[in-house]
Amino acid sequence: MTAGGRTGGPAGTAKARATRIGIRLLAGVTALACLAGCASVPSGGRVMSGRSARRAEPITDPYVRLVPVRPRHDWGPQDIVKGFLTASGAFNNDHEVAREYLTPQASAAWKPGARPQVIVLQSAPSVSTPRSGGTETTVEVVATRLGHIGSDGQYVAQSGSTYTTSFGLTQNAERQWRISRIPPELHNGLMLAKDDVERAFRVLNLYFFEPGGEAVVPNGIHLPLGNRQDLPRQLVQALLDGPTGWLRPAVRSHFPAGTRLIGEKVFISDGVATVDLSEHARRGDLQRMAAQLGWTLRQLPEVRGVRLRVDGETVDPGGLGTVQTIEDWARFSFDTAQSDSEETVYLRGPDGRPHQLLDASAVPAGTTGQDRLYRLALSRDRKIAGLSHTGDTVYSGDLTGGEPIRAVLSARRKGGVFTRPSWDHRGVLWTVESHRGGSTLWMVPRSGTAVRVREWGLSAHRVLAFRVARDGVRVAAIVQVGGDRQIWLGRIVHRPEGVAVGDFLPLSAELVDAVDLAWNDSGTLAVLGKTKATATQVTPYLVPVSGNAITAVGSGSLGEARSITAAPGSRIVIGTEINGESSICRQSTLRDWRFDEWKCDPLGSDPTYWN
Amino acid sequence: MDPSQARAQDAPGRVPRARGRRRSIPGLGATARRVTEQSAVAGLRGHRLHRARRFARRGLGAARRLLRRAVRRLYAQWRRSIQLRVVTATMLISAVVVAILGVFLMQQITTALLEGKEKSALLQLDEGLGVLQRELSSGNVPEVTLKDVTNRLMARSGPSGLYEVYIRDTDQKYLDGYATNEVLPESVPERLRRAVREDRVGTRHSTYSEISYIGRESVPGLVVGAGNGRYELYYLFPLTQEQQTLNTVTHTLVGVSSVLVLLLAAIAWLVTRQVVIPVRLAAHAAERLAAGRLEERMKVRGEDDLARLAASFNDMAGNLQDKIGELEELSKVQRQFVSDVSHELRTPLTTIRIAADMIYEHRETFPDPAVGRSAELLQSQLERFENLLADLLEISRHDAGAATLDAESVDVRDLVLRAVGDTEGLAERKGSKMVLQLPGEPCMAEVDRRRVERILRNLLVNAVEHGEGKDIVVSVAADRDAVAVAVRDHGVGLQPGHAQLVFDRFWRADPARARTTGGTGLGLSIAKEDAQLHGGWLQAWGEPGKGSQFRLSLPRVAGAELRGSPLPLVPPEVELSRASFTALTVGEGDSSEAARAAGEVQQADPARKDGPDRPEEDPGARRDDWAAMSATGAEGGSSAGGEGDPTVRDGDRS
Repeated sequence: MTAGGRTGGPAGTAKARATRIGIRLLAGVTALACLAGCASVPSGGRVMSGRSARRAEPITDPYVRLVPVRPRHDWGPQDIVKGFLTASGAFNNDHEVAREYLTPQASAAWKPGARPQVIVLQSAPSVSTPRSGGTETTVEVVATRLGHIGSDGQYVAQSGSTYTTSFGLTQNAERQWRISRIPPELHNGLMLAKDDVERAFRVLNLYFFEPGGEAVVPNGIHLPLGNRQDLPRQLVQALLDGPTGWLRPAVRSHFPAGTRLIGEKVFISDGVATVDLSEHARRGDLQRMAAQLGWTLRQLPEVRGVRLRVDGETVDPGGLGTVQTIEDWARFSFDTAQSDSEETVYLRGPDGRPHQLLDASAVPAGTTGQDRLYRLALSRDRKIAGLSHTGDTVYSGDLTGGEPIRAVLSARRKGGVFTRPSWDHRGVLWTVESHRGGSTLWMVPRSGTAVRVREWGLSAHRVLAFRVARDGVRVAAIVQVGGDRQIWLGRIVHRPEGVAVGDFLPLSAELVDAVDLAWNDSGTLAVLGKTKATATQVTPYLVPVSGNAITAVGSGSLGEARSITAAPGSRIVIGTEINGESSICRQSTLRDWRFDEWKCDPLGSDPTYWN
Repeated sequence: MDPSQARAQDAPGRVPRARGRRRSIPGLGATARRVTEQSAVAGLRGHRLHRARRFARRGLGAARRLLRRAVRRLYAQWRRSIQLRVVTATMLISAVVVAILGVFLMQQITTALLEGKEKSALLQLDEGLGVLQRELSSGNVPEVTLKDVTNRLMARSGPSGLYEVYIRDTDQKYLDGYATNEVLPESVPERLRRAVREDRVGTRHSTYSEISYIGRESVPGLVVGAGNGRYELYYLFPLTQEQQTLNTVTHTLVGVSSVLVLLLAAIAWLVTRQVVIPVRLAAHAAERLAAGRLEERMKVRGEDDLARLAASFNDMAGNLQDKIGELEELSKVQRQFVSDVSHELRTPLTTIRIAADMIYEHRETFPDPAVGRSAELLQSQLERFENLLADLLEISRHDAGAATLDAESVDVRDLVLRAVGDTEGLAERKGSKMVLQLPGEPCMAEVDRRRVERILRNLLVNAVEHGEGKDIVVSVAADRDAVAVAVRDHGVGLQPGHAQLVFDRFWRADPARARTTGGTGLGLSIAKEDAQLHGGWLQAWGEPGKGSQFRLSLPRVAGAELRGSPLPLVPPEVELSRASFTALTVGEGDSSEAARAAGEVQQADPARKDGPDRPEEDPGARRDDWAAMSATGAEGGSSAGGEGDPTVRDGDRS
């Protein structure tokens, strides 16, 4: 055997060995090269694409907190009051630092809580010099008051009144001045300058159902932003606390009375927020509760789904699984586009008949004869309404046959003029008849007989434009108040004895000379108006109903803008008069709505989406 | 196995069982209950406690024993296996090297990461300072500036929380600046604040710190800061990302290094296996070769060192086999020659014998008495020659393997009696007395009557010849498996080491001495061969001056394996007198190996190695001794006639 092994000859074996070594060497070098390649940063390669982050919500913006100082030893009464007023803008740990400015008794009495009432001032208040010496003194504080945020988070503007109040101070054992008496209106609240409020508060929407239970209605509240991590809990807690006093009679919360949040926190893991409610919730409509939670929490970018628990037990509302994504509740809002494409725009064509706007032209829409309709309005089920040329008669009927167009309402007063009619989602037609002394609100139910709304909050004012939100709960109006035209927001309350429309709140003092408005979506109005700063031309703005800042839409010349229409997920369309010719102005894309230029075509007037 | 030993082994097993039974005797428990009823509960509890403790102790003991056994086994494995040692050493060394490398690598990575972070942080700070400067130079109201700057810086930090900003306006009396998000101002350590405050030339400062948040756990972070006299600007960079990267790297490193270490161990295992397996094979082959399997060879693979080892091993084995074969062949030829010669000598010898007989018969008729004397001499030497020839033929038959066993069931006592009867005349002539110690009942065994008789005769003749006229004691004993016959003389005994040699052919203690009388010099050899043919033993013991003893042990059933002998090889009286040798002689009955060892220790008379064919030297002196000894021998004999001595009794019982 030994001999057999050797017969191959040493030469042959050596060659084979050399080959083997060569192969091994090659493999080693290749592996080394691979390793070297792995260790360095690539300098080439294919293009990597990724979606940009979700829609930028204001809530995702970083925020700034004020860092308060503790009272110093050498501070007099004036400094103490100023320091206290500044420090009360820092919310963490139950105003820990601000309380150091108070005597223990005053500190015990002062309970701003998690959602304090806030008196909003124009700027930091001026503090008068103390009246007298001794161990006790009083300091007067004077400021211009802008408004008030209630403990329910509702902001109510109270334009420009002077606010005066006084703080009592005493010297403690170390001869340090401390505030011993807080004015009674501040026992449960604060006094903050507008800047501080803007910094410390975020406006967030709570969602409640309109009485029919078909759609959610946003309810904007001001929440103090002490701790971003705690915000989900704050939101859920606010939602359980119910709508603000203003909206409370008009909407319905499906959380049964007494429902509490179990646990200290709303846990969010992998984008799923787990909300654990007390067993009271079992009595309610779980599906609508989940929808309210889903809509409210979707404002937080970290929440993509909600898991609802009742008394520690995961429930499955509506058979959607234990975790409901935001999209599961889209059907409970009219803000959701009906289809992927934009809504159709209708307008009054040059020949006076309703037209449908296509890409660059208008084609006649509808078959019925009434071709004298001005100021068109279209309902969800394609009913059309309009005014006569003089504006003293309201016509209504089906766009494509069926019920013919006929007059449903004419002015009762001499000189009475109707605003552009407005449909709600139930097919009720609303319009306001304005005359010199005031206005009357009319509603035309599906039966076709016009009814005057008895409780109408603006009966003493002229109303220039009136639009009901698609949810049928809120109304927006342009009201003539003295020489000003202001935008006011009201709500519709269905009472057994009749419908009441009232409790109007002024919205955005920045816009003046508003011409027309439309509901863009449930939270924003599209308004034609001027800002005080650039009051040269009427241009469109998006005005959040929650009270956030307004945004201008588009750029470029619009001529003399007359009417505006908007719809969720669709471009804003404006009817203008350019050199005496009625034109329709649009932007070329929806995506770049803030800066894209307006393009106008002489196709007609009075554009409208359904609503 | 020795029955007494078997009993001794049985005994310890039985003891705890008995103890257990005693514990469960009901009477005892009842008594205890009657005595103290109150203490019963406490007692029970105590009992339970005690039992639990005992269980615990037992469990602990068992665990410790197991552990010790495992350690011992591991240690044995460690000592026995090169492979294990090499693999362990490789693992340990590579683990140390990998650990050192890992620590070094981690340090490098950490430094690189943090350096990069610090650089980018300082760049961000520069940018922030630029914004601050621009706002200040634009001449806005300070309060507005601060707010704007903060807002702008904040907007840049982005929603991902890349960094946090803390800005201070030292001129502001009522607030301590602004911080972004949840970051707490305490995150900026006092040392950095002091450095920024005391700095007048706008240097940038950085430090590592713990960044704390409202409602969140604090994280390690990098804080950079700078001031321009009035404003102080701090950027706080959480290092969570870096921490995560480092964690990932650490985990990866640990995983990779453990895999590497295991891989190295596996490689070491494979490599050592390649070396160890041939070595083990060689060891096996050598063992088998040593056991006599001369045809054993190793496989030769390749042409490396191990192959050379195998080849030379094979060469060695081949040479050995050749040599041994040659020797065997030679020995066979010699044996054949001896056999042939014996046969060939027989025929002429017969003729010579007839002639010699005739001459002998007529010896009286010769006129010359010297011729008659010669005839007598011729006759006796011829007889001796015939015996020698017969013995030679017998032994050559054994050598050729032609000896056959003609076994039948025989009472060994009868054989002994007959052999004694045959040699009694010779003994009487020598002045020796034969003392018999026979058991009361028959000692049946399947043996070849002729051969056993021959053995006994040989032993007896040998004893008489070297007994110096003293008593010769013949004992017989039997147990379940074997029968034994011991022949004891009180002659000169054996020199040390001669106990084995006495069975060699033509062996003599003193080679110079002429073989004049007695046997052929082959008697004991043939006896040994006969005993081995039965599967039995023939062993000798002797000490100078104390006489000697030959013991024949035979299995009761022909061909069965013999495990022990019913009789001791060393006479009991000698053993009693020599306690120091007890340990060495106890086991002698158990195996031939032990017996041989014992025999070597025991003494043998060099003068009597020839067995029965040795000539007498000093008959007169021997006779005197014999007379003295005969009295004791007779006493021993009488007692043997009755119940037998202790040895015999022991044998009986089994």
